[in-house]
Amino acid sequence: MRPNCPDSPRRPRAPDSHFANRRKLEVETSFTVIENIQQSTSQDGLNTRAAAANEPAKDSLLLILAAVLIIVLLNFAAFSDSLRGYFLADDFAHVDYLKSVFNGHAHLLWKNFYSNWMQTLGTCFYRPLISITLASDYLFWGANPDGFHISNFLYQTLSSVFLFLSLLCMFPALDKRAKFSTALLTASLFACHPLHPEVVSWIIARVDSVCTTFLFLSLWLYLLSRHGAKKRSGATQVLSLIAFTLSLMSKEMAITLPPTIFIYELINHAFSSSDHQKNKSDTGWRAGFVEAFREALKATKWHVLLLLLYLGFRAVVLGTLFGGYSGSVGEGLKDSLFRRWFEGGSLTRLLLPFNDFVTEPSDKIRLVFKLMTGAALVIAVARAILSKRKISAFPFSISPFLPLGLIWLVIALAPTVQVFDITAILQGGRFVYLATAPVVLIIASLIFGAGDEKKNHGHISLLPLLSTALAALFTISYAFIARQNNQPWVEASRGVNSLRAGVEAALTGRPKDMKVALLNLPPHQKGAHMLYNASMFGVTLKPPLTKEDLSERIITFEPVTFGDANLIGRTRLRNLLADKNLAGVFVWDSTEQKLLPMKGWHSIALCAPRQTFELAGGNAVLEDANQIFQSPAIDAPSTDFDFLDVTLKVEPKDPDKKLPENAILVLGWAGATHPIYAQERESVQPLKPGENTYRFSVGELKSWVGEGKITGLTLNTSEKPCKINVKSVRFINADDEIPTLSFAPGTKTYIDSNGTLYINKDLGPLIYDATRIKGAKYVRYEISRPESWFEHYTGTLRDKAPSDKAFDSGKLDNLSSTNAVVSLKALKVPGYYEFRILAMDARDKPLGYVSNPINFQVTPAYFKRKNADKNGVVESK
Amino acid sequence: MTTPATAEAPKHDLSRLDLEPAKLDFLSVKTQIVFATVLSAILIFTIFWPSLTIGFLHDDWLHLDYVARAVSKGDWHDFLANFYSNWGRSDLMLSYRPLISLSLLTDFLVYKTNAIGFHITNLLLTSCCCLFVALIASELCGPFGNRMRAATAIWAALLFAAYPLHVESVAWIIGRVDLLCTLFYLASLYYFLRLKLIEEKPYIWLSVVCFALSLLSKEMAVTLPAVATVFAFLIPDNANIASNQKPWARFFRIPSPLEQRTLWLLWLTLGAFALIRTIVLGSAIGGYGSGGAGGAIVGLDTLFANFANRAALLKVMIPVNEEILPTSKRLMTIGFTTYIAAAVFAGLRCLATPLLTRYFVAFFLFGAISLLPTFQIWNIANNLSGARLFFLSSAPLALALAFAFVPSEDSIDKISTKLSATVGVGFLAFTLVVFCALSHSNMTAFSGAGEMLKKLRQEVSTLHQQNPERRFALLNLPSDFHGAPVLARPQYFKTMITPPFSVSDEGNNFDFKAQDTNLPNEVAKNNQSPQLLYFSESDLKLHPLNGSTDSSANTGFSCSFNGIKDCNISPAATKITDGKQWFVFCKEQPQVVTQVNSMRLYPASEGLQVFKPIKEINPLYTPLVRIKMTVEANQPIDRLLHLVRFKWKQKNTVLSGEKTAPIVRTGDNIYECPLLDNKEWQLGGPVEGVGIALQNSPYYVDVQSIEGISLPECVPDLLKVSGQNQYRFNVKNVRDAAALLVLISQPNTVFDNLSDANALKKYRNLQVTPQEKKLVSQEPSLTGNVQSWLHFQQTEGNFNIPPEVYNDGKTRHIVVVALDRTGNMIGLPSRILKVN
Repeated sequence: MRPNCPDSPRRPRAPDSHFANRRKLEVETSFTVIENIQQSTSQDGLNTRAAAANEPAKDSLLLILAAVLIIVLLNFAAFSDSLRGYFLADDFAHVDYLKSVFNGHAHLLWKNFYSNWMQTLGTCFYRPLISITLASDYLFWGANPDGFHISNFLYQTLSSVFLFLSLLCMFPALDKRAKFSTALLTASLFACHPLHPEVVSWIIARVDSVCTTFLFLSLWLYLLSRHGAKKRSGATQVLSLIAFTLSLMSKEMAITLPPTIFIYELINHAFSSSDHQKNKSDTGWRAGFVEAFREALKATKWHVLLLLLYLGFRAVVLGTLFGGYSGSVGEGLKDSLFRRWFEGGSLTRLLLPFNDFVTEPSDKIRLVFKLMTGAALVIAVARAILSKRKISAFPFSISPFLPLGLIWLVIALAPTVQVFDITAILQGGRFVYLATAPVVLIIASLIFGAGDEKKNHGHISLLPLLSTALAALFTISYAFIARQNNQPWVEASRGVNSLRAGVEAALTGRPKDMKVALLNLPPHQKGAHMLYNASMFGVTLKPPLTKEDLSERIITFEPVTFGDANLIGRTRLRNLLADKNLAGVFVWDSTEQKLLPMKGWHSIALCAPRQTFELAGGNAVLEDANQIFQSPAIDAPSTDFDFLDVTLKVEPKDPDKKLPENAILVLGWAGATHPIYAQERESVQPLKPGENTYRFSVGELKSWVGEGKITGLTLNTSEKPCKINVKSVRFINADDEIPTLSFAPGTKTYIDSNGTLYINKDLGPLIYDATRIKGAKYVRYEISRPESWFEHYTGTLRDKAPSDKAFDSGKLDNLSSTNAVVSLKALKVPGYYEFRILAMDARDKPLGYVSNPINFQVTPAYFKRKNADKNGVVESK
Repeated sequence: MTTPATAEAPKHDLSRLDLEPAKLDFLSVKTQIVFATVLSAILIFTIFWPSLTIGFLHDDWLHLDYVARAVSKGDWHDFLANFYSNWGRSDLMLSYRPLISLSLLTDFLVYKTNAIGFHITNLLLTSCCCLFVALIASELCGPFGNRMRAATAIWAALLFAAYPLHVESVAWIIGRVDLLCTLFYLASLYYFLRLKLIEEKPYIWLSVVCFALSLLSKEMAVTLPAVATVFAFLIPDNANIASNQKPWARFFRIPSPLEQRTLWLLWLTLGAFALIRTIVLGSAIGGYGSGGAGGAIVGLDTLFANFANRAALLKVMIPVNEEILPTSKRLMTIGFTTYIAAAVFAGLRCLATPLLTRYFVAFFLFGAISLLPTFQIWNIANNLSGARLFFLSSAPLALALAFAFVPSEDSIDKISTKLSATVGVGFLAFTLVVFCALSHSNMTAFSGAGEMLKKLRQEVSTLHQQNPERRFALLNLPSDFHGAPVLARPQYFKTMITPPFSVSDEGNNFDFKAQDTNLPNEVAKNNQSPQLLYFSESDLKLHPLNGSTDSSANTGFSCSFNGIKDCNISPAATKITDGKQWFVFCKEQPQVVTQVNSMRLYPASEGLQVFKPIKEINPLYTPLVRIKMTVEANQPIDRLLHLVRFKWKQKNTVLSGEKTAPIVRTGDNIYECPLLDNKEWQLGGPVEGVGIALQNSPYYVDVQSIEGISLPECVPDLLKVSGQNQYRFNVKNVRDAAALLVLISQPNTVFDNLSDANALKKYRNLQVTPQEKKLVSQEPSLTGNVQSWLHFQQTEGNFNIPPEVYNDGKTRHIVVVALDRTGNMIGLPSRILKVN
């Protein structure tokens, strides 16, 4: 069938005069071609192909299957490494939960349907379906992570496929070839999107992929009911609503579906009627819009109704309309709202999804991505000008997918307002999982446009060729970067496994009362989550993930939940080193992904702590950025000291120049575990003019304490060239400035391996001592807000003043006690809290530093008892 | 509606029009091919012109020996043996290549001992290979019409001619193994492809005969039937897939009956060859070692690992001899530009004409399949040694590049054709220039090798003329020059200095000594006659081995690094500081910090060398060095050890003059450096200073002392008890020796240093497990070469070799190593005895 045949029944619209001229030209060209036998023979097939190209091709089942196969293969190409992954971070909480579910507590699953998800403190979500998917994996695979990862991979694949099918059903009036290409490219890029490793490789991040899978399924079914056979319209509509319900039960993001459908209906109406409306007046246009609005509202009514029902039910179940994160995490998110959205390039990462640890900022591939995006825009402009199809609102042609993508992007990002943040290491990629669909839809619609561009008869013209090439380049680049971005997750899985194996090896063959201390759990590997606290790690060390329960035989120092994992209570460690039951102390090396023994810890424990240690000074000129000032060899135990006081004077080499205000002083150290100086073992302070003493609070840093022995120091400044004159360097043991605080030995209540006390009565008995602090008259105590920690606000354990974030505070009259008990009457809700003390003088001024904090969890039983007592009092009255 | 042109299409197949005779325009295949051949031949002679003066190298002598004996002395036995036994009677591999011997004989008959003639033959053979590359390219372009067809053929031939990995095959006379094999291989493939167009039976026989000749040249040709099958199924008859054809016609075609018959014949020929080879050599498959195909199939992982050799693949893409032209980022960028551009072009063209994908798949399979026979030895070293293995596969590479850049089909419009042709030819020209420059650079290795051998020969002749009656023993022969083979084997040396390659029979006056534990004894024994000589690769002269005969004095040394006094430190800009004070540390500047009992060395980015003078010692009698030092780093030390080397100072230069050697970690803060087979150490004369050479890395070293262990303290004694079938061992003097291990080699397997399969190359890699009494090694080839072993828990005594070990009358080697209390090997192996 020739494309220029005027009687062609396959051409949908009547030809205009422009087309008539063009046809004439094409007929003439074709005669020329026929006369030239040599050319016609070689071109024959191409003519047929060109003819086929102009026909509105049917989306044959074979073609759709081939497209689906491509999507699956791209998924595999990008994320196949994840299939052998392990559990990471929050996954462990779920493994523990599933273990309970399958050991006589099946009701816990049901509870998710009418209460907060997993009844977790500090969060407020309604996601019962996620636990069901996890439970089904556990049912088939037990605690084998492979099964969970296969499911994750499946959800990612299904969401990509449903996205493709949905887009294929949209805009019936659009050129089919353009639509198919746009749908395929969108789904392909979604399948191997570099922001998706978090969702695919982190088992619990399936929250997003499960929600999106059902959301796209619902969308597809809805579109089938709208544009498909009318006979089955009702059934598919019902099925769509069921899928929407499942999506709502997976994550709150599903609420974006009804507005998305609504917008689609509006755009579809505008696009499909654009030809007819060209000559209509403004009044007619307005009337058309009102009509379109009504139609869209009518079409989406059931989804909107279902959404309202869901919101009502959720509000009743959770007691709040919004929910989300509370505690320190929630407060932090609130404070950083503007920064997260508009500073640091979070939004840019939607188009340039690079992990700074994986792809250097100077890497040329970033330029490739920018050029690709630029090329997509150029092609879109070229196509817009060349194409005959115009939407009434524009003087040029655009794909209807483009406005849909743009508005959909805003809708998909809206619910993430509270949490949106794509960091430079791509943490938080899961929040924009759904939003990546409109982003790639925009790209695809720019590349393929609305079709119908001018074609050179008999040949493949340059524009579609370039579009296809650009689409291929986009797909390859996305798959390549996705695979690279996925590597940290692969390494994280390997790391957690290696850490578990290392601890197992350290404990194997030791008596059952022997323990090992782990100074630092790896929170993440180049952005991939690993282990944030001891309770997560504890799960890896007990059945079903190990044969023997070793979880009680490790001692850790991480915050109870999220927090600054680099801080440590030095005195707790020092005391532990002297414990006869300690089998070893280990440090996790994130570069080598290996557990390193802390060298010489035993000898440190045997010696009494040194009180002070001083290094002689020296002076030099530091000429350039490569030079640092290095100390002579040192041999000082890292666990003995709280502070490092460095007295020095730094001035620019040029006497006329002043020290800039933002100049900094960098203290670095090397130790027995890491003999070479590296950025991970540095501490920074602002540099001041003249001679000053800088106090570095090194004793609270794991990177300092974990070295065991400090073997050398370095001093560096940001101001070069400069003269540096070190007067003295003193290692300070600050027992006379920091009150001691700990639980009394033999406390009957449970203390976990992380040092957290679980109580259902008042806090105590405690041992504290502030008698060594000169001038101290009494001791002030502070209790944090629930799920909040003082150091989250100041970034240090060494505060010198009371905190304004304290939930409760009070006075302990004695300067020391061995069995103090603190009343918790002021507390309102169960949860994790932090407690610390500070010595005060007679004028109520703080002296020295606050003590190392202790953590405790108040269980609901405490409040039950408190209420019972209260009621009892009332009754007695 | 359907046009009449579509219906008529099959009757006017463009490619058939090429058969019309005598159009002397550029569309004529003949004109194109002649042009391509002439251009590529000119290019080959231009690039490889220096090869004419290289002369004979290395294995050339093995084959020239029997050819010369056949022609000059009428001793045809060894020449004819090539037709019914292992080629050249090589002890390293099994092969059947009589056609090569025949070609050498022909050359010898024409040119006698003049190497230039042999080299001219090599250049002509390469030109012929280019001809067939052009023919194949032209043939494959056929289905797409004539546009740019000639350009594709010419560029394919030119790229093949200039490809820089060809130097080894073209400039080395025996490299013609690959030239002949490839020539007949490509000819056979071309005649097979011709069948698609002209169904004439003579092409069948031409294809089969060429295949047989290719097989008789080198076993690499065994892949031809597979490649022909791939081409038969993938290369389409014409550019159109008619709509009435089956769906699979988009992906492959069914060969015509005549093609099918030819394929059968090719496979049958292969079967026949396998049979003949089995009869002649006893093995149908396998060349090097004893692995064979069986071994390869069992170790599929190993096989995959062999081919997934990243370094070798990089060399295929950027073929540069790193010893001559160190790779730089710029060079890599230039090299990769071509391939990235080719991938983009090929991708675009496949999108425009999906049928072309089948061509690129066919080229890829051609390249991959034709590499498979190299499964045992596939590797291309940094100095391009082994580049010959890719000679055949470079043909599809050249074809793929030409096809990627030159659009020969008519399926894209004129503007696109013009645009892509212009840019594509630009890239091709760029690639050709890069290839020519790299080939020229790579040629210098072979020119240097030729020069080195020429100098050695001159030196030998001069020596012989000055002392016609005196006997000489050479202690080292140059093995290679930047990857280009030189001589290495004594028998080659003998051939070189005996008639007809030498006027007088100098060979009788020269002997060769192996470099092993026995050398010091021989040096001591044969003080004056024959005179010991070594060839210095730095000044290309023969030097007498002076001052090395006194074994009693100056053996062993001890040198402590407790201060910088007398220390020689380089680079001169190294900063030296006192470890008691604060000091400025520069990441870019090497630094030495003095400690109480050691020196702390920071190599920085440019590296650091520190050595101290010692009282002169005789290196022949000090074959082991022990270093006491601590290497500190944030990563496992073993990963960095290749950057830390033992360094010493001597007056004489034997090889390249690099007087450093790698070290092995043998204990906590103890490192050892075995120097028994280090020619530079052993022959370089008295040692005046020792030290450490560090290369850049984030680590530092606290070096305390370096100790030289004298021969008796590290090498066990092994003697045959005269008159008896008994051997005597003594490891009493070896430090920390508590037991002893006697190793007996497999029949006809040698332990000596010249063999590639040297069982003792890996220092300290043998252990007898204390409980199971099992011989273990991390290197399976070590224990694989050992047929039997004896373990003695004593340090002195006699032993007999068990009779069952050598009752087959074959030769074996025995060697003794000392073991410590834990069963680990210590010290060095004893002298090696040959037993029969």
